[in-house]
Amino acid sequence: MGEIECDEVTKQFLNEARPAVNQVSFKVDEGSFIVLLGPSGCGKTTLLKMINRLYEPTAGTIRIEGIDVHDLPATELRRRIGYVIQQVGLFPHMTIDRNISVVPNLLGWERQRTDARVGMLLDMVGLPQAYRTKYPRQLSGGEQQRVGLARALAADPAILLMDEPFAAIDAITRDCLQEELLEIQQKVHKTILFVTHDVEEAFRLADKIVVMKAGRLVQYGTPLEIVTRPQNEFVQELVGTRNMLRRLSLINVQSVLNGRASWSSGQALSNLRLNHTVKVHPEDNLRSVLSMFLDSEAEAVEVVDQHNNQELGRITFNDLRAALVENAPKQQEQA
Amino acid sequence: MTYLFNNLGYVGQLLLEHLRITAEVIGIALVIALPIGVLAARIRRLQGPILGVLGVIYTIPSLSFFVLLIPTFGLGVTSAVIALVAYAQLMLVRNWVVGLTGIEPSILEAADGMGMNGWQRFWRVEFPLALPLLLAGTRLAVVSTIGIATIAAYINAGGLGTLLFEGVTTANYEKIFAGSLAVSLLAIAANYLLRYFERRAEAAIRGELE
Repeated sequence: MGEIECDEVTKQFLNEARPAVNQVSFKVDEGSFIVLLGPSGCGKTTLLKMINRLYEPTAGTIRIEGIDVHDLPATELRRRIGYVIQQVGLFPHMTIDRNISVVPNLLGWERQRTDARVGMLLDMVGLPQAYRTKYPRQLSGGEQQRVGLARALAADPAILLMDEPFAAIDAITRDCLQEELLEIQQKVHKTILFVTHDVEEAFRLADKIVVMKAGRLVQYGTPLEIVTRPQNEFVQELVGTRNMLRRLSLINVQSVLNGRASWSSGQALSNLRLNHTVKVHPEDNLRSVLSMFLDSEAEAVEVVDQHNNQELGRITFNDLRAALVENAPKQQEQA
Repeated sequence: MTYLFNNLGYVGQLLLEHLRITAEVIGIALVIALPIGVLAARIRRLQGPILGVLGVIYTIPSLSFFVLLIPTFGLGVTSAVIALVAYAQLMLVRNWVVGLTGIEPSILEAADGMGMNGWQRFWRVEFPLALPLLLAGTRLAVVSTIGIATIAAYINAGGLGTLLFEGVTTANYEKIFAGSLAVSLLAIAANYLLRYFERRAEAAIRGELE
């Protein structure tokens, strides 16, 4: 169990003009990390909730390992699918131990087996065993979501659905959690469907990304495919394909060593030179200037006034370096 | 005070009667209120009508309600219990509905997402989380039942009200005072005891119970 297939899935809510999800089809391989990405209202959460049947599709079918989810009792299906939500939704009147044990208890596991599993999961999500007897409100937001993840993984489901799990968590903790989620995925190899509107998060986590807009699936592909071959303007805008730095972050060094010889780079570069009058405004930041240097092959960028286009000066690549050296963080001298 | 000390046995017997009526009323009232509350919480459309009807019942003056029931159920405890059960519904159902509908939606979504069925979700999640408000409603209902049950003595239902009505007919102020004191102490004690359980239930859902 773990392979998921959506076939022409549509969800029309009552009293709404257009379907929340509109004829969406895609296939997810077992063990891959899929991110559903799109602006709010694009239908990504609705799509996710149809997989564990919190919503029923109006049309189309969803199959897990070839079995129509509609043919399984909803409760049985859900016990086999881990579910993590943004508001975490821990049960406030239960200890952490009992929260994590919810699904094993529903499945009638023996206490000993559940106990061992809870211990293992607390280790995996990086929480001390002493937390077993604590209650959710004694934990920080980040810790609560770790428990949420442990609870979802409790009965070792093949599939994990995550609905913006880190959206309400501060940036530093979110970073840690993303990192750890990837590490956990290395060990457990679940089929993960992860909903987010955060492009950075999507690119960091995904094996493949489903880009959605207004209920439609716009593009389905690896992060690199999405950046290098965006389907349309919308995808370009959303993921910022013009952003050179993002493109760099998606290509690893090995692929340069492998592919360099065959690249017709000379030709590509001469194409770039054609549009080398690059202009920036005084309030632009150096990140976008760097992006322009990479994009244009220009020796320098022209700084012009935003209103009257009057030239104010020029910035070269060396100026960028100098600016960085000048503004480098300095160690406090010790007394 | 002398009346009270000279007739402790009689007052004690009436107090027990009063307690028995109250316990009977609250027991029956809860059995009726719990399903009605669940229904009103599940089907929001029914909430207004149900609470409206219970509100109207609550405004019927107690003496006339008792008297209205006499032709059908006769003088005595039965009529009293029926009226008191009807009065208690408003406080029980309203608090129970507020408790059930006040549960954070994400908690219920998680319960569904984990694969709990309706029954499991109710007993493991909704009932404990709504319990403090149900207990608060029960406390109000108990205190008000103790109060209104005093008047039920007028239709021969017994209880501490007997002292008051006997006292009034015989102009025995000592007796009236003893009856009033006993009813007040009973109400205060019941309130205090139930408040204790309510606090414990609140602490439990906040995860503060040791």
